[in-house]
Amino acid sequence: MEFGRAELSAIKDIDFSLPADGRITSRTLPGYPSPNGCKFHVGMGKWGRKEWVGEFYPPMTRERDFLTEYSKRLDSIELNAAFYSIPSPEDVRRWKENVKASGNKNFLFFPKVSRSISHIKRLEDCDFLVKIYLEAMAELGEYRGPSFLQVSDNFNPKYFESLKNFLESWPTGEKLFVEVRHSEWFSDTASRIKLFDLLAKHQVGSVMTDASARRDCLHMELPTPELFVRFIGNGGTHTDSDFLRVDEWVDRISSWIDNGLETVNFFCHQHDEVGSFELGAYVTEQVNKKLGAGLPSIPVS
Amino acid sequence: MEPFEITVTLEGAVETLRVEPESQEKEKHEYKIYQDGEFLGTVWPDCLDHGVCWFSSDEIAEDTLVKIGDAIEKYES
Repeated sequence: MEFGRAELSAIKDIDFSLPADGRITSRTLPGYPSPNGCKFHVGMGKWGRKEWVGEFYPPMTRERDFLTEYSKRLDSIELNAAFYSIPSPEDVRRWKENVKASGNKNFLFFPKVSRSISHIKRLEDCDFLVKIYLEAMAELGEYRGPSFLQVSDNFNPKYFESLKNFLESWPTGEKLFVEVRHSEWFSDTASRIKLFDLLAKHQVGSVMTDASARRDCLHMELPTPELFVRFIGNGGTHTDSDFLRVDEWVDRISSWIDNGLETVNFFCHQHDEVGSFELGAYVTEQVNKKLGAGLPSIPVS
Repeated sequence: MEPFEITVTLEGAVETLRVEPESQEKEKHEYKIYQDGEFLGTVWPDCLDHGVCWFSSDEIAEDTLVKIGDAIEKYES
């Protein structure tokens, strides 16, 4: 992921500490643990990486088996393919069958809402597109997780009404998280309050993007008791720094669980995605060890 | 949609390519690719077993096409 990439020489000077909780978080979390506990999903952004064969995937794994092998190792994935084109029901059914073949009954796809809706129509007049998008995603059946809507980088608070109207027309019961990136959503207090109040009103979650050069996107605002993190590590010589950042996330998540957080959806990226499975393995190890997540450990050769 | 730049390594050399997304409403999302101002080709993504796969009707070498598609995905994710 290119978003929020910092110059390598600048990374050592970045303050990676997590900000204090946002205003709406204390209003959302009840202050005691959820009686149902907290469910965890850790994943990545793409399964079709040939360079993972022999490291993350077994040697000689064929491309057609990547998704099955992925879902043997992790129990969620951002379905970014849906962003580029609304897949046909046949494509979606095939993905579903590939996951079924893994035997992982806890697997969830987190589809990214089509860019036709988010970037081209910019959330206006897109009822029909939303309908066909949701119909396609319905084919995922039991493997279907919440969708996430990433609006364009230049979608600023002036477009608040578009977002409001879109959320009002988004079907109730279709779980959704929203990712905004324009800096004014975070720097302008009035816009920030309006945004997260709107999400809370519609029970729509917020995406927290943890990127080196865009610390402002770490808003720490939970409008629902569900966490969706897109964590972007720097990898390579900065792997230790990435792991320390993860450690701080685990501590914060622990505190939120004590206060009623119900789900954790943690997606691991790197600017160069080649090693993102190592990050996924570390996150899994830590949430298992410190939070009792109970996820299968990820073998990395 | 705004044009943007991607960096890819082609034949060992790091190249910056200009990407112009086509803001059409049809479901096939096309991107025009330029190298040093010269039109290289039009590419578009589609969904296959292994997720997003990139195609072009122009003469773009397959490994170049894969690198361009991967760079666009990274930029837009």
